[in-house]
Amino acid sequence: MIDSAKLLYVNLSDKTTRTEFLPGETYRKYPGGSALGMYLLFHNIRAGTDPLSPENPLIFTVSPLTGIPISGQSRMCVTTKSPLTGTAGDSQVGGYIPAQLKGNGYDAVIFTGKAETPVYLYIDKDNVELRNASHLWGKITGDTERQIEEDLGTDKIECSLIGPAGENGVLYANIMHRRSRANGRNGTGAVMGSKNLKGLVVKRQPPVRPADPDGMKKLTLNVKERMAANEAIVDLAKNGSAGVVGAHDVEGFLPSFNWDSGILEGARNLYGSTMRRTILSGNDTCFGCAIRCKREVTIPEKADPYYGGPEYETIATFGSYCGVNNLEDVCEANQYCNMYGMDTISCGATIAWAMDCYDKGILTKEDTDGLDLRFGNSSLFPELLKKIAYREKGIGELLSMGSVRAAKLVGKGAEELVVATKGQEWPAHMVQMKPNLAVNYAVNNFGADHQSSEHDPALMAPDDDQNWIWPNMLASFEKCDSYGVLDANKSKFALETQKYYSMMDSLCLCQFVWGPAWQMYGPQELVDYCKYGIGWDTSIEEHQEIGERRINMMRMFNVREGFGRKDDKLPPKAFLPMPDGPNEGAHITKEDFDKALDAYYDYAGWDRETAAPKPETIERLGLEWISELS
Amino acid sequence: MDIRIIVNNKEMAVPPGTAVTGLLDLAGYNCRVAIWINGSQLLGSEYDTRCLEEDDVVKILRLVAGG
Repeated sequence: MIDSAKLLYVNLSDKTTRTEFLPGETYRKYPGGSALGMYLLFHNIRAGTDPLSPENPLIFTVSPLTGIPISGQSRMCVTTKSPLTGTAGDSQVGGYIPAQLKGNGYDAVIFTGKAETPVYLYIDKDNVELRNASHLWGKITGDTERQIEEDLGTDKIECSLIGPAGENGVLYANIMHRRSRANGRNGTGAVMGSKNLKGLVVKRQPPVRPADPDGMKKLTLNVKERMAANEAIVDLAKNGSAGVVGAHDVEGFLPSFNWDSGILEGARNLYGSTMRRTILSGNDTCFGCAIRCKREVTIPEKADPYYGGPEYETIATFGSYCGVNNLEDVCEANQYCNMYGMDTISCGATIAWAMDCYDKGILTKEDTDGLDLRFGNSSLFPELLKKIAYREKGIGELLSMGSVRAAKLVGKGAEELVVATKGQEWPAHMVQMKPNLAVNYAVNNFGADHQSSEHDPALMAPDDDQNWIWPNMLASFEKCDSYGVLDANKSKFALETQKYYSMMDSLCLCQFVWGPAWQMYGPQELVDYCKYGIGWDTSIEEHQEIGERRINMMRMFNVREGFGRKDDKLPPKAFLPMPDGPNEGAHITKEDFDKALDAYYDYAGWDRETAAPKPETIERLGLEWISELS
Repeated sequence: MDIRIIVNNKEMAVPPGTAVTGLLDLAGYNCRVAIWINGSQLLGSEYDTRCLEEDDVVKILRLVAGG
């Protein structure tokens, strides 16, 4: 069963805290993570609120499953109104703080208001304190963490912190945990900085115990065999998410030169296998996880394993997007982003956009403070990242606002070169290869996101492969036998797997471990986990409805903020045929996209013109209460 | 003498008796793939046993997910 949720409210303006309990029957509808975050956001914000004002709440949530020792359960969601997109803001982080926040007894921490001077919140079960952070303000993430450990006299803590980028209002500033894990997207770090809130710090506690330990063993005792039997998991453990670089490269779908190509000469230098053979110095993991996909790299004078190592997305955005095949420079950029607290996807993609402008003469050295911003020039990353993090007047301030806002300021055709939706830069999966992502990137409520639906290749998998069998436990799909196909089947696939991923972001599960296709545990095993872990008798159908409810809450939030079909769009570069490589010519058309979007709205129960949920959809999901809010 | 097959629109020669898994090794595939031979998709369980024949037209697509 799902017990009541313990909520910790922290009013930063008057420095008061209080706890409340959300009844179990309500918690079951919004069972943690992003769903609970949206429920609480609606109850703590008014329409039209400035994201960087004290009136925008910042909400950390975990779930009823968090902290029960099994792979892929230690995730924490941050919900707020995004300063980058203006939409409902949402971002997930792994590591140890999720399990430890739950271990301290809390399901959510809701920050409201703004502190007069910098503070951080310290939680040791019922001992909750706002502590002075004036001496931490201005410090990079790693130095902040070390100082807090020294101040508290212990390293038995877990921290989520902002760096200078969050303090300075970089619109894609993130919240860093253990220097290498991030609530990365949507600029949640800028919201935190606007509140004079440096960090959330929790004391480590004993792990949460499952309701049925013997039942849990059915899922955990055979974990080595599960991993060994799954090629995708074997590769993830071996090469991290960077294993994807090679697969995209050989197919000619590694987004390069700000999305003008899928080919980067020398891309092999960026492969996960190259990283493993050259600079990898450790495999890190999250609480209770057997896969150990996190990378730690060591490069003298450039990269300290204290700041981890790059994920696939970082390698792509600072690498191929920027025409860079120098892995060491990419690792260095990754480290600076982690030190300053900036989302590597939006940051790298914004730099790639600027390089594209420079290449086309839209930006010149007069605009770049003299920096030679040509594709491939990775030597400028350290200087440029510092300028961005500190929002130095000139190119730093321009790029600190993200590519969409920057392009509007620059003009001269710069907007045509932007690859973003709803103000958020695209992750590194090409829609010419994975057209279902064209629909997902367009409709996703907090901007383009690669972890909000399953990717198209699952629809190509053999009939006896879990990649085909598991998605079809959610709904029935048609087989696809080539890249570039965008039709109603893909729209259905986008929506149904989006519901599933939405549910996982609510139950705070890692999408590399739990999922509907290639992952280690599938839909039925998640149902079993809910039963053994917390005694919750649930079903795949209930999970899908939870995911759908959260998607619709976000959509209703966005509609209230003025978003509609006009915002569910693709940038011009999405329609470019692949110019070269083994899949030269692969493309999607605007006509097929428009039809697929209509089909998505129909499947979702949304109005085709407004892109808003229809009244019957709202009623079916029990969300009428939202329209009754002021 | 090698037999000739077409793999992703390119001609390729493989030894007689080469199974699909052998072809994947020869062609440098080291990840999960979907395979069609002469328009029919193979089951994953057939990769070890299905031997290639002269003039087979093979399509191989990598199953690349998120990251």
